[in-house]
Amino acid sequence: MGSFVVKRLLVTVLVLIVVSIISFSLVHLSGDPAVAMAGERASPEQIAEIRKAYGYDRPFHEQYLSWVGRFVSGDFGRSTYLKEDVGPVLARHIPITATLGVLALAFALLVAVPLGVIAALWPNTIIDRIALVLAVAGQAMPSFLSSLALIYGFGVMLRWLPVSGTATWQHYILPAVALGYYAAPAIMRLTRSGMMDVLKSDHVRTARAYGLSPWRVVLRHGLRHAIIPVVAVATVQFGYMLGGSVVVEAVFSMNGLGNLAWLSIRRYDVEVIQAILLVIAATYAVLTLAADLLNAALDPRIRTS
Amino acid sequence: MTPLLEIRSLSLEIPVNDGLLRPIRSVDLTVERGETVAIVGESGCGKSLTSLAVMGLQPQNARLSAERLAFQGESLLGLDRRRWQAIRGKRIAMIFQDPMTAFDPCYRMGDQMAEILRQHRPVSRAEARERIVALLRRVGVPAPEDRLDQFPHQLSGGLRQRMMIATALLCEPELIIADEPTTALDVTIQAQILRLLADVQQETGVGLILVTHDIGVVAGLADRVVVMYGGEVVESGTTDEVLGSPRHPYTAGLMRSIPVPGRTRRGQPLGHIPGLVPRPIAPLTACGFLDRCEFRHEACAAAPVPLRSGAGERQLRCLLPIETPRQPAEPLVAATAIA
Repeated sequence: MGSFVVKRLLVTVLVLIVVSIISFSLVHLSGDPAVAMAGERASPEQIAEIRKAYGYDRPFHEQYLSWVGRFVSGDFGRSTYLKEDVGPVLARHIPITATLGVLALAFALLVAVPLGVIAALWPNTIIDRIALVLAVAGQAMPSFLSSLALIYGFGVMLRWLPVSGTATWQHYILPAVALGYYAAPAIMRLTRSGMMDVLKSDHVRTARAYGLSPWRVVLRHGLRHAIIPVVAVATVQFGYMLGGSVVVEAVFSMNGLGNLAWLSIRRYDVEVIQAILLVIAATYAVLTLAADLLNAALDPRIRTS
Repeated sequence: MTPLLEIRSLSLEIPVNDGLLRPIRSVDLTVERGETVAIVGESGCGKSLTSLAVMGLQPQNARLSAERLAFQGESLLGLDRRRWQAIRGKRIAMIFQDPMTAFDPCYRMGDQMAEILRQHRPVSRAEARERIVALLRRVGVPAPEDRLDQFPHQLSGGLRQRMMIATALLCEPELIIADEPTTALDVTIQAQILRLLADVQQETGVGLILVTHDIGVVAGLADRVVVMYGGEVVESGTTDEVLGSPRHPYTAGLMRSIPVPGRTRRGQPLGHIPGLVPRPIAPLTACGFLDRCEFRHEACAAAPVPLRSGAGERQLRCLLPIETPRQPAEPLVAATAIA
């Protein structure tokens, strides 16, 4: 197990280095940052001055290393548009998106895994069909549409839940359901097919032949195996929720990371974009690492291979 | 005295797209206390399904019917889940073919065995561990304490099968069903495992059903042999009767396919039975072995062949004479036979 963890940590660090190089290069790939910062009417002298002031005239690797050095020491740079350090800006937006993402993932898992197990236990029955319809609907409906449907149903008609902003925990329910509902179908279908495979396997037959109770067979000797691919997929979806919930955040007027990313791209606010990119990439890398470790804990064969 | 296991006219039907599969057709089987009965046949003859049906583990969509299916005089037909649970693993235990996959790869061996023991007996973890270690020692597992903390994939096939046997013995069952217990093992390990099964059987007096396609493993172990083909019993009797002078052409074919040390010459082709086991889709209108039989004639194709009783315990589902040993005749289908 120890060497497995070390190997995975090394891979994670490598991924982070590559991502940081790419996100740093973005500034230069998308035009001359000095020109953009100087504004439309700047003279060539002014541009040259800015270039010198921000160090854009130095060699690429030098710029990169000093940039990484700043990041590691906790200085995320300064937003040219907001005239504010990037650190506090991120600190305002991240908790909103993180809360939304965790709630959405929890909703997706709580709905999808039990449904998948039930569908696998009674395949081709009415329960299985209903689960399939829910899955197809969830997969087919874009999240802005399900968001609007939720707002209309629970906000406008029933008036049960608030539909805009992030003031209380109730504000998070509808967006979390909208975001989670989009992720649920893949998890459900994967749980179902994984369960159906494992229920046919020899060790489940052994467990049955030795008189273990049905729930023990299904959960201890079945779901533990079926959940392994689900962990990987749920991780990717969680990463997606954290980085790409722009639509849902916009519909529910939540000022989260997705919203900030979108605005910053429009403002060409380079330092903020870079920081968001790095944060999201790092989150992905850490999540993938966590998923691999979780899977290694679930299946001992992964540890040794 | 009631037999340990009594099966009368057991049939299994499985609906499939193009009709009704009949993998088991009216099978009779009796196992007495302390007796070892071998069920022999090729893959697809219904022998494994028969043994699974005894445990109520036939496929979910299979329709099982039987005149009688009784264990220690109690009918197993229509048992509810709880009563099945109280029998499985506790009174009837099963040893599976592939010890690679029979254990759950996610749990330590000791935990899996303890889970089964504690399902059936109110013992503490420490007591369970003690009993498991004792049993592992009994079945010849070296360093048993260390094995408890290992995962299945860390053990060799032979060790795993020994631990499977120990698992079967956990609750001191009255009947053990061993489904191809040596098929997945190396030849040298096969002999050890068979010896172990024989020893365990003698020591505990447990009833044993040995399901195998390898008629060679039967001789030293079984008291009686039941030969199955196409879901039917085609020949049965004591091991001496059946193996000593097989009457059914199918049994004889299986016997010919075993190399005999000293008799089979290097390079000499072994006997084989041409053709494959047919897919059991329709009700039988003729002898089930018709297509592959070297002795077939018109009467064989006229109607299904009934099971007849002969001298001793022999039963035979064939129109050939049951009492006199069959004379080597000119085969109708070319088959290579051992001289």
